[in-house]
Amino acid sequence: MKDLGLLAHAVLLPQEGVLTDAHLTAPLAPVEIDFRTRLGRKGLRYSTPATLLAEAAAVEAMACRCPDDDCPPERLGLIASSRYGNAESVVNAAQIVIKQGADALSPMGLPNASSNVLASTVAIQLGIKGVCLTIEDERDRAASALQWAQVLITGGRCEQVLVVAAESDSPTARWLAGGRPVVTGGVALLVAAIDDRHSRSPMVARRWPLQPARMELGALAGIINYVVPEGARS
Amino acid sequence: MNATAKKGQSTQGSWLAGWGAVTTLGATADDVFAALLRGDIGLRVFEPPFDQAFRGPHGYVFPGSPTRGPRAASLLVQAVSEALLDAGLTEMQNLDSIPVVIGTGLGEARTLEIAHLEDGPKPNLDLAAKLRKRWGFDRVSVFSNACAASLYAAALACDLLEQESLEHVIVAGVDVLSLSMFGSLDRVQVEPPDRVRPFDAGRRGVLMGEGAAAVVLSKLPHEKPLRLARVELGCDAYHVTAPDPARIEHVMREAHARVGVGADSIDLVVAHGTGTPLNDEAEAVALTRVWERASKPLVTGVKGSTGHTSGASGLHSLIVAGQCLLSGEVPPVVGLDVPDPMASALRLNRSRTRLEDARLAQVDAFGFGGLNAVALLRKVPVMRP
Repeated sequence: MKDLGLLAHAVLLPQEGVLTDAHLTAPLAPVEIDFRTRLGRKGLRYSTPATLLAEAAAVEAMACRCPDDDCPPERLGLIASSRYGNAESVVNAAQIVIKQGADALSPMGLPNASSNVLASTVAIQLGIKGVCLTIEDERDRAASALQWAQVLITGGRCEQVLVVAAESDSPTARWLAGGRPVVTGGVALLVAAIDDRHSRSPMVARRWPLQPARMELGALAGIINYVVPEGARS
Repeated sequence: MNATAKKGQSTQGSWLAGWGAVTTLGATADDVFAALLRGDIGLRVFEPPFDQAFRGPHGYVFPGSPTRGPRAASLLVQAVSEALLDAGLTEMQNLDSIPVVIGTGLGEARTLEIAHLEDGPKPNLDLAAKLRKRWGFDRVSVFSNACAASLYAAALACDLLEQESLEHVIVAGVDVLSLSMFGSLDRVQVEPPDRVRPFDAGRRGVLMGEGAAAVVLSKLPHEKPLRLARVELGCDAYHVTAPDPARIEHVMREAHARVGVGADSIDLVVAHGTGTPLNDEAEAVALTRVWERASKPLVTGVKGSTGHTSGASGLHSLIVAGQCLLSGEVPPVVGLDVPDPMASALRLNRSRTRLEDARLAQVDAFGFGGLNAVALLRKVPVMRP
C-alpha cells in the first residue's frame, strides 16, 4: 500500500478561519457564506446546505493546490461523506408523499432523494472524472475514506483523491444525533501518494481535547483532525 | 489463513467463489435465474393507501412495501448467507475477519422515513447491523453509489484482495423502496411506466425493484470456473441524473483495454437497461459505437423482470452473467416488444437462447451522478486432474 501525503486542505465553518474547541461546545450561528460567489453556478436553491458546504470546501482545497500538482480529471477521484446530509430532504419528501401524494413533490427534488447527490454535485463542479465514491459506513468514516483513497491510489485507479465531508444542522439531523446540535461545516483533503518527486506532508491526525464534545460532528469526525494547525487552537 | 493467499496473486482477476441473490422473482440465485429464463415479471400493485399516492402505484416490490416490506439489512443477510454457503465458507474459522464491501443506493432510507412519519425514536440506520450480529464481521464498508453501487463495491473489493494478504472479500448490494425516491421518480416521469421496458421504443421510464445480491470473491480457485477479470470505473462529471454516452463508451473501451481483449472477444452483454429514455439511449449509443466494427455480442438485461434493484442491480446482473456463462442459457429481455431504432445495431435477446461456448461477458451499471461501472467476467477452462 502506498502511503498518503496531503497536497491541500480546506475547512469551512460559519466562523471562518480558525477552528477551535469553542466551536464544538456551543450551537453555531446559521451559515453565512456567499456560495453564489464561491461556486459561481446557478441552481443553488435546489442543493442541500451540506452539499453547498462540501462543494465550497472542495473548491477551496483545489484552489490551494500547487501548480506542480496538476492532475488530469480522469486521474482524479472523489470520496465524499455526510451522515445527515440529505436526511431532511428525504423525510420531507416522504411526508409530502403520505399527506398529499407524489404529484405534490417538486420535480427538482429528485437528485436529493439519492444519498450520493453531494458527491456527484462536487464531481460536476470540479470536473472529476476518475472515481466518485460516497462512504456510508456506520463507524469511523474518516478511516474508511482514507483507506479507500489509499486503495484507489495504490491500485492505479487515481493519482489524487479529494476526500470531502460535510454536515448541516437541521431538526432531522438533531433527531438522528440524539438531540445534540450538529456541526455545520465542510472539510476537504486532497491526498496523493508520498513519493520522491514531490514534497508532500505526510498524513498526521492531530488530537484535540474535545471535552466534552456537546456537538455532533457526523462525517467531519476524524477527517477534521487532519486540517487543524497546531497553533490555531484556543 | 492459507499460506498461498499472498498479495499480487490475482492479476487475472478474482475468482467468483460463491453467490446469493434475492428479488421479487425468487429467494435464491437459482430461483431468480430460472424465473428470468421463463420470462417472469416480479411486479406488484401497492396496497392501500399507497395505491392512491402515486400515478404509477406498482413496483417490483415485496409484500408489504412500500412501508411494511423487508428491511434492507435483512435482505442483505439472506443474500450473504446463500453466498457463503455457495462458496463453502460457512464452517470457516475467522469468518468475521473477511472484509465486507456493500453497495447501496438508498441504504436504510425507508427505515428513516417510517420512523420519522411515526414520530418514533431515532432509528438504527446501520445497514450492516444484522450482518455484524449474525457473523461478527468487523471490517464492513458501505458505498452509497446509486445504481452503480454494487459494481463499484466489486471493483474496490478486487483491488483490496489484490493489495492485501487476504483470501476472500464479500461484496454485497441491496436496495428497498423509499417513498422519497419512488415518489420523485413518479413525479418526473411523463407517463407512469406499466413495467420496465429496456430498449423498447415505447419505454416510459424506470420502476424500482427490491432485492439483494452477494458474491464471495477469492484469491484461490473455487468450484465455479469464473474470474472477475476487471471492473472499470468512471465518472461523467456531467449531470446529477442524466448520463453521458461518450463517457460510458470510454469506460467500456477502458475495460476491454485493461483486460487486453478486443470487443470481438465478448460473447454476452448484460446491459444496465433501465427503460428510461436517457439511460437506454446512452447505453445503446455506447454499445453501438464500441461494437461498430466488431462481431456483435448477444445483449440481455434483467430489469424488465426484476425492476431496477438500484444499488444491488450491478451484482444481480453480474450473477446472471455468471449463470449464463456456466449454463449456456441466456434469458430474454422481458418488456421489450418493439426495439427502439437507436438500438437497431444491438443483438437484443428476444427469447430464451442457447449460447454455446460463451467465455467472456460484459456487465454494465450506470448510476445517478454519472457513476459508471463496466465489469468483465471470464469463464476459464476447468482443470481436470
